[in-house]
Amino acid sequence: MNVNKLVFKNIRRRLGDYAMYLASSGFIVAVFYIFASIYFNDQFVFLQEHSDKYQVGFRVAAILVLIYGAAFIWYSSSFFVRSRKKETATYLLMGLGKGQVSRMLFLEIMTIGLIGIGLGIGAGVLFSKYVGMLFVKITKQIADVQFALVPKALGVSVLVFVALYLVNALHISSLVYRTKLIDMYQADKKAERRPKGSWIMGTLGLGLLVWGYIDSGMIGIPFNAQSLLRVTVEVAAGTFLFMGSLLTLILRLASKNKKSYWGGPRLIAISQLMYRIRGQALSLAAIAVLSAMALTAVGAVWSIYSTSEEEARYYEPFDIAYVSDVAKGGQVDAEVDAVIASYGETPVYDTVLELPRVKVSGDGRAYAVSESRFNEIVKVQHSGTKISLEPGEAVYTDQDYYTNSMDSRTPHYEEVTLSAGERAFTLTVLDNREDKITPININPLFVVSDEDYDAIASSAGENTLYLRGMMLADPLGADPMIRELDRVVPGPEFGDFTQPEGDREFEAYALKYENLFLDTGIFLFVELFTGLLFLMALGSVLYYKQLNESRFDAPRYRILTRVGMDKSEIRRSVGLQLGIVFGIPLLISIVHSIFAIRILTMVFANIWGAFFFVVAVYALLFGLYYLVTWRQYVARVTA
Amino acid sequence: MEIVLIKNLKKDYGSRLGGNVTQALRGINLSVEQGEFLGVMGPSGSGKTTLLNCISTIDTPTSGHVRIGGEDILSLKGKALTEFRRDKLGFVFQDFNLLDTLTLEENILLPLALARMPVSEIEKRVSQAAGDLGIEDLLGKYPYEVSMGQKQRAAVARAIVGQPHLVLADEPTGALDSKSGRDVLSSFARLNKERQATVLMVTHDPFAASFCSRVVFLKDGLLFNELISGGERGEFFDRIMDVLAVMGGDLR
Repeated sequence: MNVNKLVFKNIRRRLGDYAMYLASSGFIVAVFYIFASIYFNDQFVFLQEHSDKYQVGFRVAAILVLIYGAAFIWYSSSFFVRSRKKETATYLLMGLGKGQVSRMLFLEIMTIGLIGIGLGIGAGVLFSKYVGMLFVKITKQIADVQFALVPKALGVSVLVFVALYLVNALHISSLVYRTKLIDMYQADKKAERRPKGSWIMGTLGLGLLVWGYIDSGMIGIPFNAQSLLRVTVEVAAGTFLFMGSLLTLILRLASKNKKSYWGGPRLIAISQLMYRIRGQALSLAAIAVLSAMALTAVGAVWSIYSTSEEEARYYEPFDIAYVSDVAKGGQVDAEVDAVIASYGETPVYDTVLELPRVKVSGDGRAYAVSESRFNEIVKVQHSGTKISLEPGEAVYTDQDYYTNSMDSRTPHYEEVTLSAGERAFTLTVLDNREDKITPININPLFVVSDEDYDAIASSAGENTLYLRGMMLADPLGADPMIRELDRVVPGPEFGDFTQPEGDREFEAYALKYENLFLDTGIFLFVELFTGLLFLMALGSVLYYKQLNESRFDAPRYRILTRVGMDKSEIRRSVGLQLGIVFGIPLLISIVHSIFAIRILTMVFANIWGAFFFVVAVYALLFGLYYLVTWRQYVARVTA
Repeated sequence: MEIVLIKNLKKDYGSRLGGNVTQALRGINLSVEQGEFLGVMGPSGSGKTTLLNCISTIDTPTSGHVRIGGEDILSLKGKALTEFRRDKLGFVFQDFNLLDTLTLEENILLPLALARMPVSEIEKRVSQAAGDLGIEDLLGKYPYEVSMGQKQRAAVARAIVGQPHLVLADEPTGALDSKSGRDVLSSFARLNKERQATVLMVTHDPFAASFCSRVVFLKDGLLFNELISGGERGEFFDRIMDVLAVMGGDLR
């Protein structure tokens, strides 16, 4: 039998062991291929219009996938090598040269790697159309996604992963040269004492944890990075201390309750856990903290994404708005009317809003609007509340409160003096509000009584901004018309509304909506997949760690079988033991992220639904890993 | 009363599709009385271990009958078999087979816990078994904290704690020094006398066998000889040595 045959036989014999590995590595390759196939696919025309945005997103995503992939391949291969130390040593003893053994390991890892790459690419090609459709749906774009094999994506994926496996296989096969034979035969583990656990450290950990949660409840708007960091550190440190000590103590307490502890399989599960908790506590805590972070990241991105619609409305209260040239002959207005007519569209509301430019003593430029016009627009836009004013009174409305609140410079007026032309009007400000009726650039806006408005307008004279605002029956459905209008309305060089009103003269809700959903959608799409990969990587770490332990447990279960434990009891005992190992990080990370998401919902949309969907996927993933680990663990210890 | 009744027990090893068939047991007839301390001796390949495995339900014979406590163990399957093994048999192994993750107490009560016995009953039985073996003070310790002999005595306590019909011991002194070995054997003898425990011990060591009340010798899968102790251990040891001399060969 030559080495190649031995490799082949080994792989066939271990196909069961390799199944999980192939599934995981295949998934990583598939995600990478799908990212690449969207990146390189010319079906996604809308991406080419915004190439700068998506290129960065997808590059970062690809790098993240590669890092997870590399870490996963490295970790899992080292598991295989460790579990086969003795086998390797036996080959060496039987007279196989180091070169041959090293070549054998190299071939085995490469073969498995290539199978994984093949499976991954296959799955990627198969599902890329559906993931592409999901991508289009998430980014709310319109594109007809067809099934397509993207050669460039194929090439890059194969190249990158073959290179990864090559490096890994070379590393593993070189281990044969660097390890002494005796080390390979030596027992892997000495007896461990059952740890005592420290009440002080455990209570401190729990205290920190609870304090972190309470502290997170005290975070208000606006956020500051310092307090977020403080809470993260408190919770993370608390988790580590808690897992390191209190968990041991809880298990010890459980072992004190003889009635339940002496009830069969539980005795085995709990004693096994206690025996090994010292070695596992840290990695369980790390997995809990890391998955909490991943959950929170996905939740955060999803919540920003979910806010996009509201945000688009914030920027564009009118479905269409631009600076009208009504005072200069109305040429642009006429062209706009023509375009709208050519599409057979009739705006449900169409007005030219006259906004005299005024100077606020000390604060610079502002705009004035009459009470009746304001109320009219509020009604049309279904936003804000009507205002009723007497002459000499005004209401301050902040048209850009997001920016102002983030810069913590939200103004608050009691009284204001507005100067227009030669005259100055001193008004009592009844209220400071966030009622938006104009795009953010037209800010701030003072609502004044109709009488005062007439006086201000006549005094301001030509120094008036004419804002044409329209509402459409179906603003998102009128996309082609809006795109044409965007071309018709001239750019910044037109008219006198260059700087203060902003660099964009044509504002449309539909355009903002598409833009925001594209930005946040790419982000969300990438985050969903990389987050899933990250959680998967954590699940595999647990999986390999437990299977590695199962080698040391096999003799124990042999004894238990002799003492009269049957297979179903072993299954139950292992199920409980692994259930705690998988359940604790799962539970802790979910609780952690609930507190984190609670903070996010203060600013962004209510995303509990989306968050619990993500949590459900995560729990499902861990559940799957748990079941597979359970199955293989039992198979290994009862073999 | 007979605890174990073995009739014409045969065990063949080899492929079902032909080829070489080894007859490990070629028709054994043996009965063990209640309260007996039976030694089984014989050279390597004589079938000692196969016999033990067949009695302990780990292996199934090719033909013949094995009844333990009146029950035909060959007809037991699945859960009933596991429960029979757990409740009616006690095992002592050469390498102790104690769990290093459990204290001696937990090791001893393991079969009772698996049988879901009430806590009060478990405590009563464990303290009795520990008292019988003289390891009351070691119950809280872990296997790695006690000596080999103490480990084996804990293993014996585990074997008897379920008050089985029959204790099966496979070379129980094989891994012990002579002092510890003697301790363990005296424990067996005392349990046998005071508690009427029925013990079947496989050994190659004539000194260990001399603690028994009866010794049977196996050779090539058949019973070769049988000796009954007259009560004097030294004299019994000499007679065992005589038989072994006649049998010749390696004892293991």
